[in-house]
Amino acid sequence: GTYSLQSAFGKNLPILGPAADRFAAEVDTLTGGKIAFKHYGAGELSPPFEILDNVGAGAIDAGWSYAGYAAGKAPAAALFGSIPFGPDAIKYVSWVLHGGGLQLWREIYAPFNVVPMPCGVIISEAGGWYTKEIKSPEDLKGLKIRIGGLGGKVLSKLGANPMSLPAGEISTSLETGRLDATELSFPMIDRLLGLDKVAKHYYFPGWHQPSGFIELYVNKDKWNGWSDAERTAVETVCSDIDLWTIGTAVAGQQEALDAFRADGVTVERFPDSVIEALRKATAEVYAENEAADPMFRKVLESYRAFSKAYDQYQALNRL
Amino acid sequence: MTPAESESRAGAGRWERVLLNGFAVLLLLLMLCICAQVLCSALDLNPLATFQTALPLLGRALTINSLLDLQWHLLVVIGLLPAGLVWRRDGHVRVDFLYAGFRARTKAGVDLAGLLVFTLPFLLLSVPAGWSFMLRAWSSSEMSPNGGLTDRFLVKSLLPAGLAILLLVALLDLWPLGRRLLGRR
Amino acid sequence: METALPLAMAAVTLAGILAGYRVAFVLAGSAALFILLGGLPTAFFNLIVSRIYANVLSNWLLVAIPMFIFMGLVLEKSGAAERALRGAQRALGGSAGGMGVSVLVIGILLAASSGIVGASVVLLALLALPRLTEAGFGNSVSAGLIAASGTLAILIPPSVMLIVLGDQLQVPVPDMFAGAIGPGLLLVLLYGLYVVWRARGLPRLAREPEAGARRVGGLLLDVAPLLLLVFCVLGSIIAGIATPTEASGLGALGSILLTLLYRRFSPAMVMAAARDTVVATSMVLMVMVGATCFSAVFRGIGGDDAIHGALAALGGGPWTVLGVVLLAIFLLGFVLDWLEITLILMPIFGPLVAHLDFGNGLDPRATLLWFGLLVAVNLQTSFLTPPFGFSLFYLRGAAPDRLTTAEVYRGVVPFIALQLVGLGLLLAFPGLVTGLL
Ligand code: NA
Ligand code: NA
Repeated sequence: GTYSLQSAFGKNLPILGPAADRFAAEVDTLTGGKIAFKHYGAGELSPPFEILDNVGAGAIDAGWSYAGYAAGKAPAAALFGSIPFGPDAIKYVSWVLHGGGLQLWREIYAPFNVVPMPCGVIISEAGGWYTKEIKSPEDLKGLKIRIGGLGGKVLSKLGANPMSLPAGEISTSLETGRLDATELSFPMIDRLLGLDKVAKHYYFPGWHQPSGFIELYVNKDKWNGWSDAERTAVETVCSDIDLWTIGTAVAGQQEALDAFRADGVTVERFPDSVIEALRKATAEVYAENEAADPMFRKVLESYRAFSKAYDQYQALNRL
Repeated sequence: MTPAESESRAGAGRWERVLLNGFAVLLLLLMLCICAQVLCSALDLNPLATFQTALPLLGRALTINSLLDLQWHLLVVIGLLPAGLVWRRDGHVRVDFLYAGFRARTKAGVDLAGLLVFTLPFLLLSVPAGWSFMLRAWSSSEMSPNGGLTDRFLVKSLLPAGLAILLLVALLDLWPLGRRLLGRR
Repeated sequence: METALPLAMAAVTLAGILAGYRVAFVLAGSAALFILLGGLPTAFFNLIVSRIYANVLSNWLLVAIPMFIFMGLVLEKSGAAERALRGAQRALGGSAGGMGVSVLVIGILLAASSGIVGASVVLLALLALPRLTEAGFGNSVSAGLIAASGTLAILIPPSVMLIVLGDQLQVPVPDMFAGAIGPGLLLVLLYGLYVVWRARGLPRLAREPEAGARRVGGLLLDVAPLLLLVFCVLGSIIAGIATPTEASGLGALGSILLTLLYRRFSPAMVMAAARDTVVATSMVLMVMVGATCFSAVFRGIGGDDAIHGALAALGGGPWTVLGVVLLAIFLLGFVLDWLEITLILMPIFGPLVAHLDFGNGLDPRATLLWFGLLVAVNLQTSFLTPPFGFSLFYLRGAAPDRLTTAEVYRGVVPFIALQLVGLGLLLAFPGLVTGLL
């Protein structure tokens, strides 16, 4: 039958939009047309932050979103959107699919009556657009920056003012000085918003999101109603989307970066002192969240255990 | 209108006025809240206050993001809760270039049909949906992910409340509309 | 077959609206009906509830609506506009044309500080109507000029309409504001030329014009409070103190300060304005509530696909599509107001037009902005088109004994024509919109 797939992203966003279309087409092929997803762009049926609720209630069959959006309902979900100072794309996929992450993710989402899985990797983001140069951690004090979630909590530890302005007000606010900086996405997407016109410092690395996931979740009753073959088809296609997003996104960024540089933007890395200060503040935020939420602790412990084993072998083989 | 009816209308009118004054105060609060946010971010005052223990709605700190959240919380109150009052004053927008010329009985017919066909199906089904919408926020202790306000079920509970008030007000219209349709006063 | 349900939904909705039932509830009610009739899951009620919550009631951008309404109501009571008009009139000397232009000037000042139409039309009607007829303009021309000048408030930033349109089309609000300046000035120019042309041959007014230097000084003094408010709202945005949404709150506070300046302040007056604002806000937001329910269900039963299919079947390329969309908005403008049209049509047509290439050198982002402003000018026109034109209601309401409906209708016809001329120029020269980006 036909199933509704509500995306939290615009259909015209690079990578995120086409990935959903590719997902729908491949599932259709592999199931011989038995599962045909109709892809709805951001807000067409459900508002982006209400997709989880609506898929759980059965108004929509499946959601295409970012787990960080569920952090207001389940703080530990944020760790399946991205782990600040955490894994790169391959390590992240490895831990979630083969290191115990997915089981925890499904446990977190079970009360919402949906079954989640990673379905596309969001490669490392930029650190953000700044109107001022950041030379030392001191420069972060009093900085008005649009960033949410764990990243916002980390920055406020260093004296910045994280605020949550709607996307429509970012550009002018940067231009006028109402805002000093904003976190956004990776260069291909940032280019659409034209921030290079109003902020001249484009900082890396995306410490708050070394890599992230597009998440797919399906209403649990619908999921349980499918045959093993159909569920396997969906999961297999998601694995393909994981690789496809990495394959198309990384090399594609360079063109956007070149365009920014041509517009007079300095593309640079944060100084090491800033990165170290952020790393330290991140550890504090983790400690607070682990103390407040047992599930958050459980997820981080699972990741750390996996990470330790993974890194040791990687270190042995580093070239 | 009989004297008794007009008396009870006057009584209701007084209550409506009291409520409306309450909403008016919230509107002024909204204005001050916006100005405070502008002031605080211009002066780099953030957080404005921190608390030892988590307070209801505010959590552990009052930040610029709390002020921003408070603004739309107030918008939910001001936008939705007075809708029943506006209904009582027949204040909801009508495209009335035909309606204005109708006889009283025809008007009553339009209003009764509209009530049965449009208003009641919408409210009867959305009030329970709003209730479970609120319950889901409550059971997951939903809060701002950005260090704004906590206890999101409070603001979400305004949704079923506002719709239920409208349902009540709409049901109160059934009897008088029916009488007018039959040509009785 | 696939078009039968959406067509039925559109027909039922239009019938309910035209019969005169409460618009918000026709929209929400037909959403409920067609969830049931269209075979959507009943959980769809959860979806529309979440849309009511997320798209309307908790949409931070919309706090500008009560703030601008409140500001207009308080401004009306402050006396600032009255003084400014008298000043402009004195400064522009005794000619009838000068009188007409001074009304236009005050219209611009009101427009640059307020984001809604009602206050400026009512103010101008109360203040300027006697003076315009005294200057020799007929009732019709006076009424038309007042309605049109007052209506500029919805086009010239700040503007609630541009905020809502930007929100619907996913165009940054500041871009909408910047884009509206060119079209706004173009319309002012067209109105001004028309008024001066109508004033030719009218006798000079009896009043003595004042000496030059005093004239300018007096004018500055008289319009200063209004300029202060403009400075408060637009200035705070430009200076980086406030976002456009936050500026509405500063403007509201500024209007209260003006009443203090003119010694018209009283707590009772502020409370009365606040009460009226609450009623008006709830009324506006409920229409938005109805519309957001309607558009989800209309899309859910395949309405979007049906319209896309119909437009594709029409053939003829991007310009035909644009023409059809603009014509539909103009015609709907006779019977619906800007908000309903925006909320019902933009979610459907916005994404469609965004992907068209008009061969006029605009990138997709600029195309969407240009389209947004074409829609905005078109919607602004709907304030003037009878029988359902908000500015006409306000005008008749403010001057019930001075104007007949026929005079008002006759008076707005030339201005509607000027709006269409302006729209044509914007179609031909997109640079008028995108030049400031
Ligand atoms: Na305006
Ligand atoms: Na009209």
